[in-house]
Amino acid sequence: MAFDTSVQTSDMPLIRREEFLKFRDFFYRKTGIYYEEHKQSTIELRLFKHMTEMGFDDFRLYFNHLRFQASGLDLQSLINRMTVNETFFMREENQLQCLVNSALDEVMRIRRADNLLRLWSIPCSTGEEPYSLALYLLERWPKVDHVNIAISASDIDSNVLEQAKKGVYGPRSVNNIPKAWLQRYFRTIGPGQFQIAKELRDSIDFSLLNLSDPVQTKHFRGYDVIFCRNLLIYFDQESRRRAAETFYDALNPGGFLFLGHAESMSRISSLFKVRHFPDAIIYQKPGPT
Amino acid sequence: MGLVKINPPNHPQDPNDPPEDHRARFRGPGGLLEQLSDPRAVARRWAIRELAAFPESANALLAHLPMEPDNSVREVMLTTLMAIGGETVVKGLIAYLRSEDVFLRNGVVEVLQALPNELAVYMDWLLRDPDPDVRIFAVDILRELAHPEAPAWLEAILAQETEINVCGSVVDCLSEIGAPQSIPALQNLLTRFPGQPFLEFAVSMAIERIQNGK
Repeated sequence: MAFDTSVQTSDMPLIRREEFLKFRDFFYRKTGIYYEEHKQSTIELRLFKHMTEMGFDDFRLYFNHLRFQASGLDLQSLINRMTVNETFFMREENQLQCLVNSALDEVMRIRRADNLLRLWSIPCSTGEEPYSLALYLLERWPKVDHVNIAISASDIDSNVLEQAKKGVYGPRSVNNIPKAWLQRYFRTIGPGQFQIAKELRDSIDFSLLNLSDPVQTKHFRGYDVIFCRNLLIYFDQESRRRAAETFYDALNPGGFLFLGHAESMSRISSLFKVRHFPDAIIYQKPGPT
Repeated sequence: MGLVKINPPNHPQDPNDPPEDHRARFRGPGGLLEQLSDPRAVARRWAIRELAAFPESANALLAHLPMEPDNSVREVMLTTLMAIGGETVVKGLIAYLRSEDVFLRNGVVEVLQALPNELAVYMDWLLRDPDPDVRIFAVDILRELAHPEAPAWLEAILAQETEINVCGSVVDCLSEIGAPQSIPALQNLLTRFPGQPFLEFAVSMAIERIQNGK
């Protein structure tokens, strides 16, 4: 997930500053995403555009509608608009190498009796990350045939989840996939359109999830590995801590957390051990060694 | 073996879930506070997370904080107090700056750094605390406090602080968050503590960093 910075800014405020601050606090409470005040012009243009598309010409009325709509559908629609989800396969591949070369060996040493390895990708955006995990495990992890692997994938944006389930990607997205893998796991469905194999699409459990909502996250537990890359940089300190604590309870003892290269758990929480592996620095929930 | 799909993990109730999940999803603070004495750390963590929605639980959480034996639960408790915020939380946490418990004290510094507006009214008082250790912790808070007055507070300390160790912390802090207008206060400090090579070195480093824009 990332913010859309492609929209043009304007010199004239479309939404009054007090209204923007109220909206910012509301959006933060609902999503954990915090907008700095200096981003007002960028955010308000996107917000204003969405509001007019929804048939409102008065921000106050639209804001009240967002707050009190029982179904929450229009809030979800706004969340979808306010986040963009540009990513690609094999992003930060050194972390995938770290997973298969180091982290999973440790996880396997403390295996539970159920012989089930569970991974969670959040935010999964349009699916490139969870599918990359699946491809990498299938192709690069020697123990793949000796254990059951379940991959969960979650995002706050319902539109990207639908795209992820379809598994259709353009050339830029699949650019880093080795040609042999592309031939093995994808089929061409149109000019520059590649769809990942149905078996892989069907093997991943996609779910709509707001990481800031403890009621929603409570049942996400029992994971051995979590990938949460380039999300926490958009959170404030409180939301980062809450996310870290959610991951702590979602992981099995000894499980690993992968963050984006610009993110450091050391500045967020002391719950995790920092582990320096040859391919990457990752974070581990203390547990059996 | 290979890829398998398991049931969505966020199904409402699973008979294998720990017993604390078999309950109404939204509960009042009474039941949640009772779980602070649950022997399982995971149950305490989840109860404390949900207590963030009940600001009236702040006093109970503050009272329980130093007694909680598990640091992972304390982390969650500090985050919940950060979420609740307000005067009660800030006053309660300030009291723990005197604690001998390093984990607790460091945690308190982090939470107070995240509550700049509530903390601002107590800052002068903290910086004049009779205990120099507390004054050093106050300076540590200012290091990461997102408040526009932070450099001015630090400069004011340099003019009156009598403990050289506190001054050293302030100089170190100003080297990170100071601005060119902090330089006279740094230079004046050396006239108050002449012949202190450590301080001279720290001040020259701080001024150099400020002048070079870090």
